[in-house]
Amino acid sequence: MSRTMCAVKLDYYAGKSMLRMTAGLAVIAIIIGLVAHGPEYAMLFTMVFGVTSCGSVFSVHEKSHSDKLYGILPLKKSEMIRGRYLYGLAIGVVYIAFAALLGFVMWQVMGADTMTPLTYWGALGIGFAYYGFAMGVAYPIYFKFSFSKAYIVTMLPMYILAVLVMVLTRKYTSFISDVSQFVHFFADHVYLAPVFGFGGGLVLLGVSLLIANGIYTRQEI
Amino acid sequence: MDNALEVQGLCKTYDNFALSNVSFSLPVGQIMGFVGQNGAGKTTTIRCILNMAVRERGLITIFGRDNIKDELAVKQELAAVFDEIFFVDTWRVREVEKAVKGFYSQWDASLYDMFIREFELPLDRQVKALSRGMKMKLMLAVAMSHGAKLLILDEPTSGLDPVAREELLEILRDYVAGGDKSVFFSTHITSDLERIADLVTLIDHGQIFHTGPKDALLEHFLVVKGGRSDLTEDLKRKVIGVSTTATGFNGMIRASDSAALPPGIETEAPAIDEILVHISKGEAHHE
Repeated sequence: MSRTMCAVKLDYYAGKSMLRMTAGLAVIAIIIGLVAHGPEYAMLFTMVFGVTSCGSVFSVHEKSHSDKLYGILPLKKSEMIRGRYLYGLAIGVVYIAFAALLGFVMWQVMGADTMTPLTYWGALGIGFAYYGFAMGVAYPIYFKFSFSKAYIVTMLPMYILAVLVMVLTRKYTSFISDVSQFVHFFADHVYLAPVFGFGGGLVLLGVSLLIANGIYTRQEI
Repeated sequence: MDNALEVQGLCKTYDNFALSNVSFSLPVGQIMGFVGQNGAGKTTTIRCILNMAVRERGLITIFGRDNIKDELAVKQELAAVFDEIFFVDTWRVREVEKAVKGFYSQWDASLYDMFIREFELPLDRQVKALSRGMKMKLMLAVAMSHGAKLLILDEPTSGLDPVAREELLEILRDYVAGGDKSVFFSTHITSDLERIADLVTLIDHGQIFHTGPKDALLEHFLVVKGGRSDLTEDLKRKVIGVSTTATGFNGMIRASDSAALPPGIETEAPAIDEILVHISKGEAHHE
C-alpha cells in the first residue's frame, strides 16, 4: 500500500467516530426535504452536511495532538495532504451517492410532481460543486490555522458567494437572463448537469490541493 | 564507534528563543539523557531532529544519514515518544496498530501483540480511557514494533507516578540490552538519568553546557560552600550560580578550579539536579 493510501486509511480511522455522528445529520436533511416538499432540498442539505463530515477529521487530529504523530511517521507532508484530500473526496463520493439515492426515493414516495429530472440532476451537480467549493476553501485554511480557530472563517466564503450572487443580480440585469440561458442549456442537456457539477467540484478541489500543499509543506509541524 | 545520532552546530531561532550551535553525539547502544530546565531547548532540539522544525544551520545525522534528505528512510529506523499521547483518543488499543502499521516496512505484528500483553494493555479500551502510564506504554509498544534502532523520548516520565516511571526505565534498559539500539531521552527529572543514562547532554538557554559520559559530568563539577567572607572577587568569577545567605554562600565550580580554592571552603560532588540548578541560576560559560 502506498504511503498516501496509508494516510487515507489513517484519516479514516481518525474520522470514523465523527462520521457516524455526522451521518445522523441525514435525518435533518430528510426533514428539510419533507417540509419544503422538495427532494432536491434534502439532496443539497445532505451535501452541506457532507462538508461538516469531511472537515471533522481536522478537529479529531487537533484534539488528539496528531501533529506529533505526523512528525514521526515516515510520510512526506505532500503525501499527508494528498491523503487528506483523497479522504475528503471519498467522503464526498459517499455523500453524493447517498444524496442521489435519498433524492430518488423521496421523489418516488412524495410523487412525480415534486421534482423534474433537471432538478434532480441539477441538485446532484450543484451539490457536488458546492461540496468541492466548501471543502476546497476549508482545507487550506485548516492546514494553515487550527480547526478550532478557523472553523467560523471557513464559512465566510459561502456567505461572500451568496452576497456576490445578490449583488450581480441587482447590478447586472442581464445576469438573470444569462443564468436562465444557462438553465435552458441544461434543460436541453439534462445529464450534463451532474457532469459539470462533478467536473467543477473536482477542479476546485485540485486547485485547493495545490494551495494547501504550498501552505503546509512550508510550515513547521 | 558508530553514532546513532549526531547533531553538529544546530541553530534555530524563534522570536524569543534560539538554539545556538548545539552539538552532541549518541553512540550506538547507549542511553543519552538530554537535560535542561523547562524552556532550555530540549523539545526544539528534538523537533529539529524529527524535522518537525526546520533547522537554520547545522547538520543532523541518524545512523549516518541526513535527517532531512533521507527523512523517510531515517524515520523507518527511529521512533519517538512524547509526554502526551498522539493517537486519536477514540481509538481502541487494537485500532492503533491498524492505523499505523502500513507506514512501516518492518512492522512486526507478533511483536506488537507481545508488547501489548507484556504491558497489560486492554485491547478494547479507548486511548482516552487509559491511564497516563498505559498511554506511555502504548506509545512505546508502537515505537518498538517496527524495528526502530533509535528511540527518542521527550519528557516521557513527567506526570508518571514512581511505579510507572520505574517500569518505563526498565523497558528502556531492556530495549538497549542487545547493544544495537540507542535511546535519546529528554527530561528535567534528573533522578531518572542517574539511574539509566550512560551519557548526559546538558542544555541551558539554547546552548550546550556539557555533553559526555554521565560520570564525567559529575566529576567535572564540585559544589562549594563557605562563609560570606570566603567569597572573594576571584572566587565569584569561578563560581557558577552562586547563592548567598546571611551566613554564607553556595555555588558550583569546575573541578579543575578546585586546586586554587582558599582553605575553609567545603566541596562535595554534585548530583545532576544540583548542576542543573546552578547553571540555570548563573551566567554559565557554555562549552
